Amino acid sequence: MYEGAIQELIDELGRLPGVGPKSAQRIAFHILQSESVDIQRLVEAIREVKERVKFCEICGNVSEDVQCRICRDPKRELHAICVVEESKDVQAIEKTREFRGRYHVLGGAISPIEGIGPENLRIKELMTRLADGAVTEVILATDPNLEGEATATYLARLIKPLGLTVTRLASGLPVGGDLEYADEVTLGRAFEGRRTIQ
Amino acid sequence: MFLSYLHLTNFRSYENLELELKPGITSFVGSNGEGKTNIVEAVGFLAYLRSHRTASDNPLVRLEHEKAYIRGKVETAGRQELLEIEINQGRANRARINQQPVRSTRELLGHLRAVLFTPEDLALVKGDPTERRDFLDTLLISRTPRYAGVIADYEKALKQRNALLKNRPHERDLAPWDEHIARFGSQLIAARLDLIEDLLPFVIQAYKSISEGDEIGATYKSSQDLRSKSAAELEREIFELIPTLRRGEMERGVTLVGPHRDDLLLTLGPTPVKGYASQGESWSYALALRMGAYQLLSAEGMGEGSEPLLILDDVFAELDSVRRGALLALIDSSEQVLVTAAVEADLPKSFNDRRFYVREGSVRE
Repeated sequence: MYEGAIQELIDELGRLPGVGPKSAQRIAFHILQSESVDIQRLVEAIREVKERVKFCEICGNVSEDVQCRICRDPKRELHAICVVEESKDVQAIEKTREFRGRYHVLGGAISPIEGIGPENLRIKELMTRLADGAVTEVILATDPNLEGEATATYLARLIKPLGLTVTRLASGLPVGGDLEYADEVTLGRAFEGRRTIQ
Repeated sequence: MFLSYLHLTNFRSYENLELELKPGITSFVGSNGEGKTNIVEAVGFLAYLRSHRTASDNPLVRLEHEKAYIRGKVETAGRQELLEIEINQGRANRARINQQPVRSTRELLGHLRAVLFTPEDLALVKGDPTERRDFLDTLLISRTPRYAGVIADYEKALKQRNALLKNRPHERDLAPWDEHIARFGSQLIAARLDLIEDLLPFVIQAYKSISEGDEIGATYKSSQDLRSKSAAELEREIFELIPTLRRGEMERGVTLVGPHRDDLLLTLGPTPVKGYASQGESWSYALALRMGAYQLLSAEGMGEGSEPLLILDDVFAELDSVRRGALLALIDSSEQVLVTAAVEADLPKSFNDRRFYVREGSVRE
């Protein structure tokens, strides 16, 4: 244990995701030895992120305005909504440039153990968006794990009665990889989702 | 197959232990608490990714250390593989195969196959259903490593669903978890049914070599008397059954159908073993189950040189001469056998073994 301020900083850093006690200590001493101007910039950045960044009132993605850049963009197609768990998933899909529609960020996945139920996710907001009739396809892009699948199943049951097309992202083989190195679950899924070559 | 090299770092009582091993019989002799079982426990961990003595990995790491390492070289029909596991306190374990990190420790399963006999095996016959489910599932994973994933998914889905049931959930909220339970549960039950069908002849044969008299039998008992055999049919059956169990599940806050409530019913002649068999008969039965498991894995291996390791942890002291005789026959058919005993007198006189003495954490030939 260190005295006073340095220990407080180590404790605070240690609360961050992916930062263990040793990393926290290293970062704390790095901060202590850095130039004041550099640290001032870091402090400003942290303050501003809390003050300036909001969540888009339409999709829930992080945004500097009431609405995010994607929702404001008139060139984005209105008929398709891609549902993801987190804002970082929007970034991942945007990088592919495959999707021209808009997003909906749920803010997590259903997980009863952690006390996260459908009412804790932005599902009501999604249903409101679907009610206006412009959307014809909902793409469920939640994580391919147990909680993500459960969330996708829950949403599919909710949305299908509205008469919309509901799709789920395919799971399968990584591009550029070797078939023999794929794990059996992935390979099994890839078999299940095989396609006819046109 | 055989283990040619074992290296433990901060594992249980061992700060650093290196052993060159050979095919044939290797014995570790030492009083209780000297650390002989720790050695075979480590070998078992390489094979199953879990200890046969503890459910949590924490006791495996030497006191006041953060991580333990188990390294083992496995020789299978002339091929050599280096398996390494890092056991971490409070974090996920990591593994490497031939110095290449693997994405999940589960990828190690199947690379070293072993069957472990321990004094606690009597619980297979006399203990709770969970002992027999563990026996089946462990064997299932050795046979088809993919099922480690199915079992992990099922257990996680079960925890999530039970957490939900305790909160008086809406029907709509349960539906996704009903589907998970039906899908993974049916896959696991179907795999267990297949396993029992293939295993039973070997167990019957093994029992005959130990004991004369009544024929033994083993049938799978599912908690809700499911009738189907295939995974697809079982999935439908469970899915249709779930709504009829709703009220009870809500009241008790637990899932009432699925492989977690099933049992393997063991019989001797017309009577169930549990509660009726003598101590001797129970031992013979437990031994026959392990021997059957060994022979099933042997028979399904890739021929000569792929027999699983046979590990006998302190079992000779528990057995009379007839049962020892049955084990000796099995020992003769194995490529490598690791044996532990408290005193040399416990080991059979005819033993042609390489003997190590374990004292205060040191292992000497």
